[in-house]
Amino acid sequence: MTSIDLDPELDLELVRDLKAPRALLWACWTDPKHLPHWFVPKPHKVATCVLDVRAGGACNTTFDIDGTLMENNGVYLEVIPGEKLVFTDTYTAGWKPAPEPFMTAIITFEDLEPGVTRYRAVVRHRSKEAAENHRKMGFFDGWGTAAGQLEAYAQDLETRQITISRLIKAPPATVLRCWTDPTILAKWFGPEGFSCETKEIELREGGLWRFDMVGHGQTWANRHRYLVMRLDRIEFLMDADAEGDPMRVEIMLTPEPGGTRLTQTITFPDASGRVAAMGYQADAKGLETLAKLAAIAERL
Amino acid sequence: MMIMCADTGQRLVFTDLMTAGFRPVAEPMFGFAAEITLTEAAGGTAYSATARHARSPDAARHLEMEFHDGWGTVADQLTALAATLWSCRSAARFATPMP
Repeated sequence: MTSIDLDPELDLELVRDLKAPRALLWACWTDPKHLPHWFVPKPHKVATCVLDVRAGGACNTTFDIDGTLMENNGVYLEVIPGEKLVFTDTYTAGWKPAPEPFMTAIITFEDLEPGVTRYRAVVRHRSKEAAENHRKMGFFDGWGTAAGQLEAYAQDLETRQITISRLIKAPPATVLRCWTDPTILAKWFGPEGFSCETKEIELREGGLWRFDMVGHGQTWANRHRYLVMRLDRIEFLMDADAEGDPMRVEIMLTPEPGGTRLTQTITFPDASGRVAAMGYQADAKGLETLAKLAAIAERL
Repeated sequence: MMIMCADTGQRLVFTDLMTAGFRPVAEPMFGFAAEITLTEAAGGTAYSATARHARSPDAARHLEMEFHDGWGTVADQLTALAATLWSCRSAARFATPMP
């Protein structure tokens, strides 16, 4: 972990050891689905949120403070996935300087022990007065409360998620093709002993796949609704082709020596969904599915 | 000054609004973020420098302080220096087998 120099007159620092895994805290900070749930002390709300998490990308939020909207527009300056996030209101997207910059924040995440992360926020200011004003505005209280909310939200998320991962010996484009080519997808999707009977298929962002999964003498109706289909990320909603809250599936494709690291996270609407899924070993079944995907991708 | 983005051979973004380690500057001299882009062009490289400011008076002051003259002179000096490196590099390439 790189050291961060501190100027006691210009910087404010908050350090907390949070009982949540680092990867999850990172997701809570960088995914616009998650950040609004914890970023401002309740009952205030995050009304809008645009996070383009790369150096120079927008980091824009709007707070709803008792009905008054407060815009915070800035950019990310440095992004080290899982470790460090730097953002500022000194510029807006595309490094355009802003007239009245207030602060620059450096957030770091460090493993302490399994499930415990040292969370550190260093906030820099242009002047002693600006730092003092921020302190008087309740920096420690506000950022402290948000850190507590972050920990609670991440812990709740953990009870609703199942994550599995596998190295596939093929480039990301080939792995993506296995998801987007209708002649390929039905051949591998589902655990050993199951097959897919397609009713409707349109594999694109905004498209869907309705199918029956058939195996062990039973039939399960399935529906995927695809939200994102990119070389680095696939995201879709998955349910039984009926009313009710769907599961959210996120697939990250990361190039790695020897192929592509596929990391799949399923988020259930509530903890009982995860418990039920673990009852039929959804993690082991998921790995069987990924093994079938790998077998096809590695032959393409 | 702080470098914010360095896309090797293509783009460099730097600023006088911060110093190394993401430290905001209280009274920057110009208050800009500059973007240098290098694009291959017939017979050389198209070189562009854009200095962005927070407010139009800041940009006007930078203009009055001879932005065009200063950055133009610097571009000429850069061209002259690069020309000497270019001939050295060509000679070295000639003498060394390419990997």
